[in-house]
Amino acid sequence: MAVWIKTEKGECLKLVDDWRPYFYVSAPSEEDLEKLTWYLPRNEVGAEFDFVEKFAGLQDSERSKVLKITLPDATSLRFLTGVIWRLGDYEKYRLWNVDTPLPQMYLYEKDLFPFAYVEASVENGKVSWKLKDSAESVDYQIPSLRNVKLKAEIDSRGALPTFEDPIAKILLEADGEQITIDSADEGEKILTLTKTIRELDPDIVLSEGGDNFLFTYLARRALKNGVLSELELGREKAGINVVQQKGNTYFSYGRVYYRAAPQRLLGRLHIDLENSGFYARYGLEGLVEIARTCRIPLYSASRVTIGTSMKSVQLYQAARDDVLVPWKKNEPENFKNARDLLVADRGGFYFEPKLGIHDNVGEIDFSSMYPTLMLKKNISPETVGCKCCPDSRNRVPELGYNICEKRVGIIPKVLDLMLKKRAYYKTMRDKTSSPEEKAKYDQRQAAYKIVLCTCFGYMGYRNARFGKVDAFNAACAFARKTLLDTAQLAEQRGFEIVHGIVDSLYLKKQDASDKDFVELCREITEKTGLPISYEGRYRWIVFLPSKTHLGVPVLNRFYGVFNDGKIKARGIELRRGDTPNIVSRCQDEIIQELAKAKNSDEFMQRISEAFHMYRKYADKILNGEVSLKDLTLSKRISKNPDEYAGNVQQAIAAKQLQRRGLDVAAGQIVGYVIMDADNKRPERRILAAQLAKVSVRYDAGQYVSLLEEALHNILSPFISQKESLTKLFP
Amino acid sequence: MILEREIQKWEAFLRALRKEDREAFEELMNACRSYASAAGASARPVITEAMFMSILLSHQKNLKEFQAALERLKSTLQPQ
Repeated sequence: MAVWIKTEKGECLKLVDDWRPYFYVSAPSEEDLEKLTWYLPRNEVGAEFDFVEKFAGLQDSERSKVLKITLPDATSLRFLTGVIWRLGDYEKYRLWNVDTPLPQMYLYEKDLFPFAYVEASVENGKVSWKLKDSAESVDYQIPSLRNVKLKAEIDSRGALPTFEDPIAKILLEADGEQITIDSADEGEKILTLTKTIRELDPDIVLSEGGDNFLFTYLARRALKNGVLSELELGREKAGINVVQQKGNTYFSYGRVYYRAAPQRLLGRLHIDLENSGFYARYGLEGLVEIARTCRIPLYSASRVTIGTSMKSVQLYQAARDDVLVPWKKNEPENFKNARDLLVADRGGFYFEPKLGIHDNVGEIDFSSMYPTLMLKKNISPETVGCKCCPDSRNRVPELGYNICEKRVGIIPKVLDLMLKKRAYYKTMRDKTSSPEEKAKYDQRQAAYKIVLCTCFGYMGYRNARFGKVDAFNAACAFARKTLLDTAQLAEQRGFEIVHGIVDSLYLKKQDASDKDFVELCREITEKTGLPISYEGRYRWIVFLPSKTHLGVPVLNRFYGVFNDGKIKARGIELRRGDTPNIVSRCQDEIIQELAKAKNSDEFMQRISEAFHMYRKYADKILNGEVSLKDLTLSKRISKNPDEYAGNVQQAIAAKQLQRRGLDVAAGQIVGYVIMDADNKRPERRILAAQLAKVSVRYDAGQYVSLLEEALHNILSPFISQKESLTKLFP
Repeated sequence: MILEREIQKWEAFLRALRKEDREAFEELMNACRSYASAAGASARPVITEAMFMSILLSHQKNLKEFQAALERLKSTLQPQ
């Protein structure tokens, strides 16, 4: 295992520890395990066998004897696990801890974590670590790290660059200083890049699209100029592949996504700003915080789905508790009849919003509702419906499941530290007067917010190692009860429920002041035991109806203005990633204008202003004054291009790209411009953005109707029919 | 979503109606949609029960509104 450390003097060192990966096997009897050791090709792969005692399963209350197999490296792992499967006729032997990523396994075993302050000594190829830090610590120092931002400008013929286009400039940014590499010869540029990176010796390389495009592009250009072996961005020599690694297409919450394969640099952290939403939102502070607590390497934490960080900390906890992790999950759902299933299998509760505009609405949110409930009620796969406490007093509302009273579950154990840290960072953020400190604490707490979100969703998910649907349902049942109890309390205090969803409520009471809302929150926290915070009061807020059924309320479609002028909008065009810039900018400007209204009466007076803005934008479109970039629609394709039978616009774009020899896979986002929406020949209707020239003749009528729709959507409660929009404002 | 599937099943019924009746039918379905959350919370095995309850509820609310409006109207019309 190679570990890079930064010394106190700021030097970077690579330590190599002679460490071997291992996994475990269990069997119905010790005899079976004994037999297994005779048959396995021990010498062939150089494996070592030991018998150890571990908990084979979360529910187990006693350790059992299992076989630990240590391998010289990871290469023979697949082979050996396959042999064991076959020897046991695919059922006798169960395999444990097989697919934990090795760096994580190493961290768990050594009780280390990324960015830990350590003392290390190397002897005979073995590293011994002395931890002088704690993952629980909240006032650690991140060593000073040198960042370099890497960007390339490309001489592209189309709107988007391809591998064939030559490099125009390479731009580096370090310590606020810009370095431009623009020597005449392309090969020379690449050589200068390698030299400059070596001189700057950064710890972190931030790139724009390094995973998806840039690194492979640079390698391709280097190859073309015969300097591929000279292109070096890491601290150690490791070539960058000229062939684009296949990324992953994956499915999450009803959507197909695409993630580019990560490009790693040895000895430096490469963070792709386009592939790491996490870094962009929570910064280095948030990333390091999560990497430390969840014991997951930074390059993983920055790229993988956030659920993986949560999984890592669970795996660590299991390793601490001597609990083995099944290769394939089997914590079956308890048997239920149809009636029970109907009652159990429901998500969070909501109150449909009351449509239209409301004055003086306050928003209150439970903070980390699900994790807090799971911690307080001890909800975990092995505690819900446990066998040891059938008469437990801790019961799930509506469902009646018993919850263990004897031991604390693995999920609550893991959540405890995270919730405490988040609460601490929040308090510190509000206490401190220094803006840098405030930002630091805010990034750290916000990172937890998002990671904590996954802890509850993760229990019902089939890839979760310690998931059980019953535990998930239990958490939902407690959450529903909490929201209903809270709503009742608010109504008793004279508040009207305008809208409520899972863990937040929008309440209205005439002339209620901030103080009244704060007082209500205090009372709710006292009654439910859960922290609830007052987010603020809206001057006015508009809840919008469904697009398909006018007059029917839907969740998450609203916009409003807080008393301090902050705008909050959900589910409308400007929030959607697939809206062309020109449309979202127009809608944004309209809402900014409406936000000047102090109440609903003033709002109504400003509607005519909104229409003027719409006109201004419509004229721009009709006069051809809009740039290609502002016209581009970006849509995710849910299938591979050739699997589309129909001619939806994104499919046409994907097919156009494929015909040009570009790789397009399900889950990727394609950009396109509408050329002639109703053309009989589908391929003429739109043009993929990559193929568009700098100026194109777009379908102005189509863009104006998109604009009109965006205007109509936010004003629909005030206009009875779509046609009347233009009639209203001739 | 279960609700939308159930509404789909009434399509034959819907098609057999006249235009003005179809509009009224659509309004009833919208009443069901407006109480979808409570219907879900009641977890009834037969979804139409929850739908009819939603419709009754919306009618009751309308009735109350009309009654109140009528009372107001009466009081303004009555000679002092």
